[in-house]
Amino acid sequence: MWAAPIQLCSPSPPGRDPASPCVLDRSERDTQRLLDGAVHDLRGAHRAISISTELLIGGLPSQLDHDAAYAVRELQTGIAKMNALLSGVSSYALCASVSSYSFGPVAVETALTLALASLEPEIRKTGAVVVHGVLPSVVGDLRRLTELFRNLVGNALKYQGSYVPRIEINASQNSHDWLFSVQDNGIGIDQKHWDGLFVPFRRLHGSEIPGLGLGLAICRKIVEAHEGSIRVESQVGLGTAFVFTLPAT
Amino acid sequence: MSILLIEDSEGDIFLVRRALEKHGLKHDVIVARDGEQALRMLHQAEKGPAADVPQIVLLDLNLPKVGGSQILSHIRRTQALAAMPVIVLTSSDSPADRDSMVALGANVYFRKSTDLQSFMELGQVVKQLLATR
Repeated sequence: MWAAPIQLCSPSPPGRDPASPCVLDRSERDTQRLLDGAVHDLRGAHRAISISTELLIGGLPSQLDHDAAYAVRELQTGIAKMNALLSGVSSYALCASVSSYSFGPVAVETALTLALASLEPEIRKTGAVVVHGVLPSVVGDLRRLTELFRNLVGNALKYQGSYVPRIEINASQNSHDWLFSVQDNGIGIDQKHWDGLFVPFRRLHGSEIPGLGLGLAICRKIVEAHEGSIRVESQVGLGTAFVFTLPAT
Repeated sequence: MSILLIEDSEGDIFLVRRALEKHGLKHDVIVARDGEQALRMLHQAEKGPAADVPQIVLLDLNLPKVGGSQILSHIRRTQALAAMPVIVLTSSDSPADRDSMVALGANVYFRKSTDLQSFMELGQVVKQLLATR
């Protein structure tokens, strides 16, 4: 059945058509509610399992038989996985919810600096060199733009090739938009995988590179909430560039 | 002296009681398991003697029937209750949720942790808030 679009509009970027970014159809709104509700209730269940496990383990003797030790290990591993999954899905749900955004003037360099600060241990560990050109101010949500850069730069650090990672962030302007690129010299991505790259839970690697497969899906949601678009350009063995647009004000 | 706990999860009620006991808080803990029941209790408290007003409210946000934010609004606009400290208990890590609860007048926004020790810190938070009254 056709459902009329529902205005859920929140704070859309000033100066932009307020209808375009934040009109969700009923199906999208229901999906958002499903996601929010599932995350909330799963958090409660996760908390109950996690804390009950702690209480049970606290009452166990220090020397466990083989089966008990296995069960405890599996419980702890499962709880940690659930925790990571819930954090990822929760973050995705938040970034997908345009009504949760708070738009205002943002110096993109500030968002990048905050992102790099949160990645400092990984940057230090990999010895990565991160450089950027002159970055503009845009109308956006600082917190979400910081998360966008944290995901993109974090990916560049995670999927490093045989060289010390070098990551460049640049911006250029066309008539309507700012075009940003986050370019690395990492392992690259085969073109056959580009289409599904921004789909939730689509992973290109096994357990050798940990991750949930949500980072790029979150990036797309953030960029789209800002009325932009994101794409990938890559060559296997040479590196990857994530290119996204944000409206120029 | 009483603490009003507005919470629908039996597991969380158990943990809150344990956190209060762990920090030596021997108050009567009165539990409302949904928003309507909480509002009824609050209406009773506002009509009764001042001594019947709970010393502190521990408020879950996602409640059956009436949500936590409506209850917080009711407390803050009711003269007999307005000075009552309210700790919002939530699973949400959304900064927007936190900001909106603080704007509505929550004294503390306590995120329910998934590890026991962090959850038990709630007792200390309650103790500190009561000490400032």
